Amino acid sequence: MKTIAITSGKGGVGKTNMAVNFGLALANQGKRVLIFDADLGLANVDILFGYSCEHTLADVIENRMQLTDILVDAPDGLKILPASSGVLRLERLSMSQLASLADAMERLSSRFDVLIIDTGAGMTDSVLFFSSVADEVMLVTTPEPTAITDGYALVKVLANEYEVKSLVLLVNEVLDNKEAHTVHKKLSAVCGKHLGVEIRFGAGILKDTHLEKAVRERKPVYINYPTAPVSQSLRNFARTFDSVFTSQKNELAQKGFWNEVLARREQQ
Amino acid sequence: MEQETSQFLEAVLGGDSESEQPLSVESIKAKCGDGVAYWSDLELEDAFSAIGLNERQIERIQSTSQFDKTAIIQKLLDELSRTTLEDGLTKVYNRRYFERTMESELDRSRRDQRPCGLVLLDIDHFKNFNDTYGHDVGDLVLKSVATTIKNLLRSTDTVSRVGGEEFAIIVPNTFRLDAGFLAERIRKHVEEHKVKVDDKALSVTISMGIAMNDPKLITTVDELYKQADKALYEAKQSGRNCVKFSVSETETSSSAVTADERNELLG
Repeated sequence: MKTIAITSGKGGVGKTNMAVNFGLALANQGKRVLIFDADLGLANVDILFGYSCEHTLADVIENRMQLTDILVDAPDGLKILPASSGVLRLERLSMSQLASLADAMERLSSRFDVLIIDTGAGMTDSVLFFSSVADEVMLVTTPEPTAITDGYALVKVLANEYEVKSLVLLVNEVLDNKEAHTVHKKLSAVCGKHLGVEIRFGAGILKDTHLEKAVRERKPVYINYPTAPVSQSLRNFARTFDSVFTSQKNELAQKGFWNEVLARREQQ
Repeated sequence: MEQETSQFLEAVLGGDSESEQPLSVESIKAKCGDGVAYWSDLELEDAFSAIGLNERQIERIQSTSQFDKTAIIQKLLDELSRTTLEDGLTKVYNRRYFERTMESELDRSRRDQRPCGLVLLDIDHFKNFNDTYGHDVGDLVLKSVATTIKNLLRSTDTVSRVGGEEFAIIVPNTFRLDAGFLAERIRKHVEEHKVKVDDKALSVTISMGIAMNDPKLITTVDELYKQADKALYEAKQSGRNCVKFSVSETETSSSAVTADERNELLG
């Protein structure tokens, strides 16, 4: 299972929409996809789908339910792991809760090909946590200056404090592909020069009014408007998945360290 | 410690140590140095009496071969470094060791550009153990916590007892999150393993505060300690038995976007 944390420096760049519709495009092409809605700050994946979820992550963390019991079915076999809004703030989870959550998700690895983690925006501990434990981090930005600089700020923290050395860039709401490449070129140059971080080009997603329409209809655009430009962009992107998302695990020492601690405990 | 040292002298040299003169690693090192094998007997004799050996012990050393003399001195040095840097009760390092090591680790962190962390931890309501069960039980609790920490650390981490019921763990070459995991692991382990005293099983919990240095900036031991202490205070404030990170201004400022970076991004 490949884990991809989708994140952005700034809210409102379409991160959750990208996560959901990219997930659908992948599922549509035969991949077994799970979306973890880890963004409790703003929009929820379940709202985009028009579901309301009876059970949420809070039930799992408080040991009332198993992770597999709360998964929600979406089209094409896509599954959603809903977080709860309001009651439980992921930001407030303790280290051990985050770790056991990561463990629980690891256990799902045989059932899915791709786990998309829709993290919150900005630099809360949970965003940074999921970004640092995932195989890949996909940064979503728009061509807007503030979105770019906020995205860069997040990359900087991830590089400086979490040893993330390579990310995939998705530029949303572009007028054409050229604009996406211009944004990528700039970010990639500055990240390389100042942070030693590699920014790989993922995709440019066309600005498309269908997206907003679908949001109002509480259905994913990929379902309601499969031929709209935005859906086509995502479909093309999904086709490149295996060649774009090639990292196995970023360099976070977590794994090695974790094993060492576990090994020590077993010796006792 | 004094007693242990003299016991050691007896074991190594035979005979008793009558001297009351305190020994110090520095004084022996100053006297012996590395080239001890080349010292004349007279020089050696001076050195031995300077570190407080009595005449019988000196005679014994004098009658051994030059090779053994070096070995004996090395053993003495090792033992003395141990006893002067170790906490007598818990057998983890003491505050003196902590201060030295923290300083050199901060230097190294800057040199290698890899972050280094400090975890401070304090046993919750420790006074109650002493008051309720007596100091012997309090001591057992301290020993037990010290052992737990030691067993869970990675080979490069060190733990020191820096106060009555306070320990400091230096985690070199470690990123923030990993320091958090390590701390959480220890906290959980302490919480889940009761300390057995006679027929009682005592529940012990600890609070922890973590501060990370920024390898790009100069951080003093004092500054880092204060940050970790502040985080520890927060952990105590939010109900104890938990781990808190220090949010240092330095940490965030070095990750802030500079004017140069901004201009290049938008230019």
